Amino acid sequence: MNLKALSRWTEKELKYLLLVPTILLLLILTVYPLIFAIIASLHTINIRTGERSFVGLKNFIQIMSDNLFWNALKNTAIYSGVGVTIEFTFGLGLALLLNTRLAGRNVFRALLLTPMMLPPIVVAVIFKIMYIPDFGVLNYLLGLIGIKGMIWEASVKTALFSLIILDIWEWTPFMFLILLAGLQAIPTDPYEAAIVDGANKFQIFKFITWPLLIPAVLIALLLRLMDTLRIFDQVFIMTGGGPANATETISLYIYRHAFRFSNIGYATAMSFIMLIITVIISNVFINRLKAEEVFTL
Amino acid sequence: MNRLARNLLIALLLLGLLASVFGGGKQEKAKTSGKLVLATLNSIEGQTTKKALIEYGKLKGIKVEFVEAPYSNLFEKEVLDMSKKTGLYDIVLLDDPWFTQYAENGWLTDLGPFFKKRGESGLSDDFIPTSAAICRYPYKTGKVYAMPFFGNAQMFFYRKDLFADYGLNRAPKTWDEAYSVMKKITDAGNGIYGYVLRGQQGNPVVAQFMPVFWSFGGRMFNEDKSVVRIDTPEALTALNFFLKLKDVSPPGAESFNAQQLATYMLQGKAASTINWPAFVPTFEDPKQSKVVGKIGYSPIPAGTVKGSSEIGHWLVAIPEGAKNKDLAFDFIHWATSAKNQKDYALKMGTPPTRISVFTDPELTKMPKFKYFLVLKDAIANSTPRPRISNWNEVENTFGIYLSKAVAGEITPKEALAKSQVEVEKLMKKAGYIK
Repeated sequence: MNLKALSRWTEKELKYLLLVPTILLLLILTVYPLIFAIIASLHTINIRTGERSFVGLKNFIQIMSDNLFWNALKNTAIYSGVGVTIEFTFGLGLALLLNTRLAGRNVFRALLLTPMMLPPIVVAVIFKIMYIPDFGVLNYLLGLIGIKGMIWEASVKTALFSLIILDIWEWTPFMFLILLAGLQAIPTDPYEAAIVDGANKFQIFKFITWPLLIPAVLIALLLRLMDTLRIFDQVFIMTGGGPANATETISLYIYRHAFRFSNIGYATAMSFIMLIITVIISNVFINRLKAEEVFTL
Repeated sequence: MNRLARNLLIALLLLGLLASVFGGGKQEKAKTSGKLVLATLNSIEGQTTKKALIEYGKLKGIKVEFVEAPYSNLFEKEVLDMSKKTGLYDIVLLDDPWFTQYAENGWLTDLGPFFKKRGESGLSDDFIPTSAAICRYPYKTGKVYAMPFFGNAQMFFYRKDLFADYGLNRAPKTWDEAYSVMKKITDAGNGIYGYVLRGQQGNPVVAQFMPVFWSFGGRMFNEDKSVVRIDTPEALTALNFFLKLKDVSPPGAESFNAQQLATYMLQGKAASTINWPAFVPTFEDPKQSKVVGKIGYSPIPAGTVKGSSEIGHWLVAIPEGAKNKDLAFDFIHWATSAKNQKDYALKMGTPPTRISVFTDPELTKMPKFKYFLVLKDAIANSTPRPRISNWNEVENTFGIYLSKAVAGEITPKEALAKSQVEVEKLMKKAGYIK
């Protein structure tokens, strides 16, 4: 083999060689755990008792009749559905408002981003103090405008709702940010043409802004949905899943089985179901994004 | 260049990578001799243990390392290390309810031979008997697998001034006596509540209920854990009284944890509570507290039988896979000595486990340690959480139904009946019920 052949080889094959570390990392960090998870979900694995036996689909069958799992799934669905819808509505409103030539809009934009910068744990701790019915600031403020204070995260009826409020406060800015970016990416000429043609503001929004904003809308919704489906920290700090299991979410329930009860097999099976649900939901959005030709795979 | 050469090159590269990964591992292992690694909590108790180890390292000229974690994280780390016998830690700080599970699985080192080497028969008689009992597996009678480091047991905290205003010039002896004062305080409508209940689902509500349960003669299991005794008349009396306590508590108690209890007491908005002694220094700190000197500390009032609080010690133990057991034992023996426990009490305010430190006049004459004698009695009269290896699961299940009862979703009778069924299932699964 001569030098020339070597250099030709390097030129042709080097790219594959350089990919080796990345592929290796991918194998170790994603493919291996995934395969391990599939295997684990078919076993009863208990770290505490050292039990490790193949049980086939028993874990999944047990999950189907596990009321606590369904309750957690229901809570998570409400949390995601209601939370993301409201965040989206607020986010869109704010983005539309601050996309106009409003005085001091840069200040507003910067201020709006602060909630997102705080660690969720800190937000949860602060909200827990604000929610104290007796001397929490929320009931105090309500009292000032003559509304009788209520019990927030401590009542079965309002607990989940109180957690959603926190999520809305913290993550509306995220929606706002993506939608604003989407709005600013829309070229100005269709607007000019529309104004020339005498379209009113509603028509402009319906026929120009909204269709062109769809990709940003899809991305914002997708990211937030995936995020809320695995909500953990706020619930862990604020309610621990209570009162009366009213705020138990899937992540919290999985965590309990995996780390508190050492029930790894069962927990993995639940994670797997969650993974499938998440993949199905995200695929709806991703297919839509492909149809919008935002990206191609 | 043919395919073979290319494949060889890739294989070589892979080998190199693997070698660097595993080679690195080996080097790490060789270095650990003469070093102590501690798994510890990020609380005051954990900080004190860390400080003790640093001091010990200086004394003996050895290297020391720490892994610090918050409460539930620490449990996860320790379980992972010990179940895989990786020997990452030489010393672990553990909460006593974790002990049964650790010892039952053979994860901890039997300390007997180490005591023998020193010519000692076992744990010193100076440790409070209830503190020593939780370091043995099986409970009270078995081998010693840990040493008690920080003594904790719940106490009844009450506002001496308010209780006196309503006609009680001493600590309440019974729950009835206490409740009648609490009711008057709440009904007076001054914005002060007679009691503040820790009602958050899970560990908090169970920890709050247990002392009430015990003081009405309840026991969760029989002696060998083969019978569950949750759905009993004693438990019903206890739970009904527990809900009465909730009625004289502030609204929102369904989600309160220890911190909210402390806040209500510090603000002078609640007249009594059951909580851990760790909050005493805060109550007596003028910067944070509006009630300095006004809070009395007493054992849990009696219900139908003598009151008993939950014990909650921090223990130090040596994992079975530890690499430096002799040195580790020397450290825990040294750290739990009377001289050192007194030193930590003075410097860090942590409670000891030795009778001689609790009764040390030099400490008890200081205002901030006036509760030591009460705490010593509370510990001596305390009851441990049931010594079962699946306590986490049982506590979680019981916690759900207690939370439902406290939230008024189901009746006390229903809560107990359902807990009974669910806990029996768990006990069967764990092999306690044959």
